[in-house]
Amino acid sequence: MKRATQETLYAYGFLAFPLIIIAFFVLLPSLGSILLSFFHYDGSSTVPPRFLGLDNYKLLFFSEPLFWGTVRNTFAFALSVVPLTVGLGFLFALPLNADWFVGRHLVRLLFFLPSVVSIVAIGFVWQWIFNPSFGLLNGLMDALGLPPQPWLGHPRWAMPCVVLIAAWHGLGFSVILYSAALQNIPADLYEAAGLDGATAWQQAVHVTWPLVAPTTLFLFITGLIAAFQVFDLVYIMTAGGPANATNVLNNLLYRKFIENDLGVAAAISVAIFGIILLITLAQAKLIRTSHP
Amino acid sequence: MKRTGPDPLTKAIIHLLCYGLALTMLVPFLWMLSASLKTNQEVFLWPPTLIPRSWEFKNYALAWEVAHIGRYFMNSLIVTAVVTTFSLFFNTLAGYCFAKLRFPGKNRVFLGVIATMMLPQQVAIIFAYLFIVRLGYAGTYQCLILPGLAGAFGIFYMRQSIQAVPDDLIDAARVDGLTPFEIFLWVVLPLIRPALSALGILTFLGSWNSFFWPLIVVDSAELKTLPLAVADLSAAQVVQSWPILMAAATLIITPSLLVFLIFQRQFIRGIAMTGLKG
Repeated sequence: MKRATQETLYAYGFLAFPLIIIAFFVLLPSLGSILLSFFHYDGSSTVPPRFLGLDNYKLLFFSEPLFWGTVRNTFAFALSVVPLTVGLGFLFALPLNADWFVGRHLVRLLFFLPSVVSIVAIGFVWQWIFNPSFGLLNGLMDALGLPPQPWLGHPRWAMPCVVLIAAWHGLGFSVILYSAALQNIPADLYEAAGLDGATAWQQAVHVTWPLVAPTTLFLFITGLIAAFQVFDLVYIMTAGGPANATNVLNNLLYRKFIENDLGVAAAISVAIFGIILLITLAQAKLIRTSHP
Repeated sequence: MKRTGPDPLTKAIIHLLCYGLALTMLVPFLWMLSASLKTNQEVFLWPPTLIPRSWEFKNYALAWEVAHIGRYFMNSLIVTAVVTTFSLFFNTLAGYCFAKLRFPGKNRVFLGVIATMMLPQQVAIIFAYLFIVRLGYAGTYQCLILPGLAGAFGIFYMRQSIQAVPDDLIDAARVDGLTPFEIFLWVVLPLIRPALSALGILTFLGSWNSFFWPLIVVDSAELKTLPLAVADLSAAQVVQSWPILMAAATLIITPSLLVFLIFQRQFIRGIAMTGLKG
């Protein structure tokens, strides 16, 4: 009895500060932003928020010329970066965990290098490599006898370039997670498959791929959740341009924010939240069907 | 894994592909470093030189002084040091409560904490900004530090790690008359050092590289962190010199690369752990 009271006091004492931080900077502000999306508010302390009902959403869906473009770009970004990162992560994790691969620790380390570096620095250095007039890439094109390209300056090429850099940046993470999963697969499964005359590729497809399914699911879900919130890389590399070709939802949100149109910014954040909620629910459903 | 693997030619091609891709992970940073030491003329030379002809270390001094990178570096360092130290302590303590203490409402509170992981950063940020302004913290270190002092991911991660500590050890300590806090300090902490270092490194990198929240709340030049400063430099071209910009960018990546290279083993294990538990 005495012990139970003591533990309760200690527990709530320890938890008080972390819970206050989470409540005041995550939970309550999120509810606040959802509420704010039904108001007009410019952030001033003299003019109070004005209730608009669904007007902010109507404005976004029907009269904001950039909204659907940013939705399309965000989906295009997420749905190409995530399969690319996960698929390549699996393919590269296979040799990087095989004992015939020379220097696999070093290579795995190098693969992970971009993941720890500030995305600002990444965007910055690649912006320079892609630079149409003096970048390394056009220099390389020139050396190969190919015509120079505008890369990030061309509406058609800008998004593929950003996607490529995002996948390059995230590849190390999926290689590390797949490596951990591969090390947990019992070796005798391969011995059985090897005796049946399966090639290395067949083993990878029919033995390894199904066994790492939980990792694949985890990478897809966390990857999609992160990709739908993309901002930093796009902000640094293209700022949404050229001609809005790389404008994503968060860019629009940031613009509405600096224009002090906080209600509309909040409505965009709710739209992002809605997408992420759907992904999370789909994940819950997938897990339930795979573990009945 | 004991496997024969593919034939020698395929193996050679696979080695080539992997090393080729690994090189693209290294070259941009080497190039950044090399450009940061070049003169304004040499940086535009074609074919480019990897080893600068003259080593212009003064680019760093110029970045530090003229572009005020020194000031921003110190801002980032202060914020990251405080956030990493305190959030590691508070998240570990909270994780310990959820893993080992018995108290009413435990499961409900824990679920509430976990649920906040689903909320995207942007949803909280708009209103949290208004909150910070009302508190009068806009333009102070508090606005960069306070929101980072605890988080659902850290609490979840430490709870998972502390659950692995055997209950027998904790019960024995309790019989010896140790309070829950003493048990945390002397029994639990020494046993979870790998998880502590993994979360510490993750928190350090997250805070050092943090961009969106500082972009929203920082309204004065004095309070800018390094990522904001470098983003400004590259967008506005305040400094019309690529070597100086590259020196600034090199300064931003050096601490994270050092932390990663020194603690790579703990770090990679920590990353792998997040996936296995998920």
